[in-house]
Amino acid sequence: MSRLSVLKQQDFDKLLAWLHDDREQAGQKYETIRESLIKIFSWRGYDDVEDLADEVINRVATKVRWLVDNYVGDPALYFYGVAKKILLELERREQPHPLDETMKAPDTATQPEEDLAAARREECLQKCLRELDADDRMLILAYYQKSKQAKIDYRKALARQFGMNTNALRVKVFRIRAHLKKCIKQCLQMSPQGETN
Amino acid sequence: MIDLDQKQPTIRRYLLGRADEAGSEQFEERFVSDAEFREAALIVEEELIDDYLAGLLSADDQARFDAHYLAGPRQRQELTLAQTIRAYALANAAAGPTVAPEPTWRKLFDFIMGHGGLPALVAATLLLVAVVGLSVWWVSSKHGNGPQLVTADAVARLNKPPYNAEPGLSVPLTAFLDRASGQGQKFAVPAGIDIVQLQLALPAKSYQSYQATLRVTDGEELFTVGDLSAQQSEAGRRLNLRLPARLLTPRDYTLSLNGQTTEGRAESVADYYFRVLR
Repeated sequence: MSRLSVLKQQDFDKLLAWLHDDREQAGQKYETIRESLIKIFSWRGYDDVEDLADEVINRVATKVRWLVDNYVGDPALYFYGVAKKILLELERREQPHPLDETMKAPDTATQPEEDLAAARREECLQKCLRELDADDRMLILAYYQKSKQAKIDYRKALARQFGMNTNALRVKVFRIRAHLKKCIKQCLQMSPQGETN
Repeated sequence: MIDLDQKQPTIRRYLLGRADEAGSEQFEERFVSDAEFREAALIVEEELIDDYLAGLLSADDQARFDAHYLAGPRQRQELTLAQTIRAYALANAAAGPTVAPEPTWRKLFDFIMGHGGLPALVAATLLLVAVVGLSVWWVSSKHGNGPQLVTADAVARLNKPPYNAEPGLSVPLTAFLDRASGQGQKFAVPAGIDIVQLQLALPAKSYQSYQATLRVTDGEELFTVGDLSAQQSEAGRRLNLRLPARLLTPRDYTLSLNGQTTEGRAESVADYYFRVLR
């Protein structure tokens, strides 16, 4: 059970109201902050990143009544301030462990299991590709071709074909991929194995 | 619009663990509070993974990627997912657009801006309008809107090696699309191109030879050509069908592929639906 479940509904409502007057926008802002915290803990090399993000939210929620009256500025930065404090506490307790050569292959999955997982991933990918708009699908499949200088020239040509500059192409490809990855993750969670990687 | 090139060095420095603590905190503060920067960071992160998978990182960056970036389990999951998408894309779209040299108009524009500025640009624009107008008139009077007459023999000759000319445009087509859902693939045929190559992704079962029939969707048959061979490449099995570009006027097409078994029977292999845009 998530640590957030111990948060009182009243405090959670107050927290959302502090983020934005409109409840829907507050919900979106909450999700963005939570995802950002998860990313930061991940980039710092920690394991239980969802729990750590929820710990930040819990701590902020317990102070939300005081914050509403006294805090001035972007709430996201206050969340980050609490996250920094937790990072310091974690560092005092233990260092995150970067992978060294000996830790690169601790995978306990057997080859047949890994083959099955790979097949399932590809199955989900194909399903999610079919759900994409035809132009988006063609773009995402074409985007990976070539390497080095050829890749740069190729992507310029690809951008021209789709009537945009390379910067806009990179943003578009990112958004299509984000959508695709979300779809694949959902598909994998629904699979019998409930695989997520 | 996000300026990715400007932000990329800072973001990569952080992701590869090269930023000091102050730099890391500055990055993270922007990441939680600046939506544009946040999106840029996520884009640069994906491109870093792509470069790692494509072997484009320097030895030092690669070592840092292994030791620092992949320290988090989430990043390892992202890597696996990116690897799956990349492998599938490489196997199913061996080529997108052919990389053509910079278009002449672009070179002309750069030349004008470098040599005469605005007055020269105005004069050039007027000249361009006149040229485009004449071209449109010439093309429409010469070609009309219907498909151009091309014999099956001409298509067969075009697909018989050795090839005399390279295609100006290569278009990967997949067969898993469902025409009924309006999911046909779309592309435009740029002016000045003589040959278009359709790269047909093939199902696993192989045949001695193949026969392709191109029709205007819900309309007339344009040609049937046989004795076509599939090719095995890193990207999987495919059949490259070369067509005269003038055949592909803007409309919807259905390409049906049959396979010839060793016993001489013909079996339906796949249908490909595509739309040629103006």
